[in-house]
Amino acid sequence: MADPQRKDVRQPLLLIWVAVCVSLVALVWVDNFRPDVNTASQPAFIRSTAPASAATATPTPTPTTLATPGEAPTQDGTDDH
Amino acid sequence: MTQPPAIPRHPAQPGDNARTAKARRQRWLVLATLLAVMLAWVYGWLTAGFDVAPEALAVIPGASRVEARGSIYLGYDKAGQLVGYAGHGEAPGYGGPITLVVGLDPAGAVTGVRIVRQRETPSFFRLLEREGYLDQFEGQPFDAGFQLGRDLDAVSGATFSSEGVAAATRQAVRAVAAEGLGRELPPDPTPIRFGIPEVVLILLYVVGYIGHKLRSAIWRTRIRWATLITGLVVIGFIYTLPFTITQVVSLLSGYWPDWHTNLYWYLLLGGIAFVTTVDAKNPYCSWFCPFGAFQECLAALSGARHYRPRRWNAALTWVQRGLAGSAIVLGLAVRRPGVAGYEPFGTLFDLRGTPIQWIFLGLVVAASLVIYRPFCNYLCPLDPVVDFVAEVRRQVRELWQKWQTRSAKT
Repeated sequence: MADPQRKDVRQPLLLIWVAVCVSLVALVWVDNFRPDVNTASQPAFIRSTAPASAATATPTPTPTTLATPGEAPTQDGTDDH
Repeated sequence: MTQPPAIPRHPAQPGDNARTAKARRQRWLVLATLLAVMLAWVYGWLTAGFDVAPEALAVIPGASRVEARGSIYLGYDKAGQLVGYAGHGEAPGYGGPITLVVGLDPAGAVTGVRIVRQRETPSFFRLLEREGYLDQFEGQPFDAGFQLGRDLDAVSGATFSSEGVAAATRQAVRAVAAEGLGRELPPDPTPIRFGIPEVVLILLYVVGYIGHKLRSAIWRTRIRWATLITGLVVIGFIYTLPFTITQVVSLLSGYWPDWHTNLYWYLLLGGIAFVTTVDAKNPYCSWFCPFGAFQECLAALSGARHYRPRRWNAALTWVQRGLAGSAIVLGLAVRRPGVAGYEPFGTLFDLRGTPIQWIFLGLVVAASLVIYRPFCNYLCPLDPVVDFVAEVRRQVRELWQKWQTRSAKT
């Protein structure tokens, strides 16, 4: 007789768990649409030395200090997602 | 001579009507799903266009205007002096093509790299910015090579994205070198990447296929545990290359990566599609899915059992199908496969994620201690996708058999 009682507890807990997880999935999707990662409408990865607007453009010397030709590669083979 | 009354070969059973109605419903659902996916695809295709030209100005320091010449842009200052060039490149990343513009000064040094459009999983693509990946390009001469592992350091956990940016940059720089600087660069070397992940994946398919055919339950269980642990360690923790809904959306979007550098992608998706179509069996989920293996290890430790309330069975099935369908339609409609993914695979195997993803993973881990494979059974988008392929296969087979029977009669 203990088993049906246990099931009764597990059932609402499972449904709550599924509902919370579905809500979190929705939040993950909303987070994925955050404007700072939508590079088409709001570029977040500008690594140019130039200003984004032509109206305020000023000549900037070409940076040369970032080149690292002698460094050994450190790719570790791990992959993403 | 009177003939005895014909006896129907299959006398009508009480459940026949219900079964026929269910089969009809299934057929309509398959068609409705296909229609929704097609509509999302068309919408995404129609709204996917954009103009690269305005971005070119931002990567040429001192330029007040740009002029298009061939496939590149020439940047001029206010006095009309040439101050640099910009070219655009596009190469496949993890979720689809990455488009960027690269600026070079008249001497041929890179002055800026700007991502114009990408379709990667946002939380992983942010790693490139956080770890200063794009900074490596600045100041490099046009003939620097821009090869990952040799000239550039990949960002661990975002290697596909790193390779996509590097390949697109090479393409852009080559165009500027040829059309702007008048210098030809040697063709881009594209060696076939065939290493440990590819070998392990092929072995897992073979061993899994043989294993599930075994009659001995003891050996079947042993081999299954061996493939699960191998999947968990190699596909999960070492390389983090599980099957995800993002790959399904990329496949449907037509964003197929370069097979030279992404042979694993083709082996994984091709293998699952092939075995599911030919054998109607899902080789991945139960035999070597790393996240499934992780949940199964937790269940083995805690003694968790399978649990699915009969009363809610249909509703829970539809929740899971709804999540999978929404992810696919969403990814196709915005043409960004990376935003569709919600699985906590990367959070577990790379130990990286947003607070929401960590909470999600925590809930799944907690549930795995009391229920057998809760994520697989209630939330994973891949199970409905594989089921859908199997259902389409079944219906096509039925139609083919009906057509053959009809042809034989006539």
